[in-house]
Amino acid sequence: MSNSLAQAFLSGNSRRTKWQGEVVHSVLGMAVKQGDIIEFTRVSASPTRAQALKIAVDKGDLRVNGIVVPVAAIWTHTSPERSILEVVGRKARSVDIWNSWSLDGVDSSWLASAGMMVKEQGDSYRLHCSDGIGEPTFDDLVVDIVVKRNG
Amino acid sequence: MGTTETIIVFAALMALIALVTVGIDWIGKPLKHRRFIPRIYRFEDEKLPLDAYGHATLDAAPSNGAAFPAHYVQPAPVVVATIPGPQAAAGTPAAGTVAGQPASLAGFAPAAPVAQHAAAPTRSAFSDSLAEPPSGSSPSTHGTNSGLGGDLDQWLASGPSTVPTAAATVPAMTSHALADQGPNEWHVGLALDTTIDDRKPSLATKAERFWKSTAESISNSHFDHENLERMRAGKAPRRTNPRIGRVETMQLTGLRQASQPNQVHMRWPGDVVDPWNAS
Repeated sequence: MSNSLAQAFLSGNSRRTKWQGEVVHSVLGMAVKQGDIIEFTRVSASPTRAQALKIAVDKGDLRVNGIVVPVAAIWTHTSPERSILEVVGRKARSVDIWNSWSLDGVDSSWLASAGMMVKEQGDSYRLHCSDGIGEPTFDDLVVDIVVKRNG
Repeated sequence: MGTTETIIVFAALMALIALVTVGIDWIGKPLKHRRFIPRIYRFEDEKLPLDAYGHATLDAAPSNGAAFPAHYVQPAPVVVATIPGPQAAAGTPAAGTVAGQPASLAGFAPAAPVAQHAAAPTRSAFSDSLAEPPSGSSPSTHGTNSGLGGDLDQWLASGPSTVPTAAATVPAMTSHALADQGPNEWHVGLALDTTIDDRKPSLATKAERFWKSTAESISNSHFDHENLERMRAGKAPRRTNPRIGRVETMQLTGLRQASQPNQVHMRWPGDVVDPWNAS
């Protein structure tokens, strides 16, 4: 693991790097505003350990499952396959999305082989996530994201 | 004397007792770990049994009845300390005799291997050590020679690498660990709150011990080489948070009360709520 993905992120922009010819993200940023709906649909997930996508708004909150939180985690073992988040807050401008995993009860991100490959088409995204264990595989969690703009 | 005076006198007495207690507690701190043998045991036949290190102990193993109870005999620490090892011990007439009659001989109390761990803390009757001895501790920790005598031949044949570990607060360690660290040093495998030289570890020391233990126990890990090296050195692993562009250090919760590494919880900074599991 001498040239891990995490080290590649450190050598350049810590949010994005090139890994074997592909662009890999540690954090995916999206422009949003108040009232926008972000829809997450889980395509596949590794059964080995719990995986998650985490979402944070820069200046605002997210309404998810009836509660309002600044940062939300969509875990594979607790959340439904389809999750809907609403951006709350007039000052909200962007959301950050990154992947996470649980190892021995410890919730971790941005370590070793962690990263996301993103396929973007308008306001639709498909995220292929790799957790930090082993070599980067980008199949530990695959999620479709659709942003529905308000107005 | 009226009720009021009685109450005043009583309160004054209580305050005086409290002051004296606080003073004793404050002044007597350096004496906290002294080994105290009551004067009631001043007669020969009333002396407390002695463990393998010559300390008074109440933790004596049952004697065989027929033989003279060896644990009632004063040890000969000077003789023991000068015996360099099992080979030398085997050459002395005393040791050879003892091998044949393990539990019935006086004067063998502190066998040769004991001297190598004389500085280690023991489970004396009046020791303040809170640590419990390991379940598989050596016979010598039980304060009698009967157990050691039975295994003496075996011990002499196996050599010094199988020296029974002697301390209650420093349980069994491998010969490799013994070679690397002294008997009075903490090593991986011991409890996080192990007292060394009667000093309780600080929170920082416990954290250091936790990271060293975790580094040894990790197999399938997401920590890279640099973080593993940090943990082996007793430091917390770090990561770069790309959202804020800063390095974050892993945090520990439950360390203050923890005795074992599995009682400590690791976490990265930042609170993230699981909306489907929020309580």
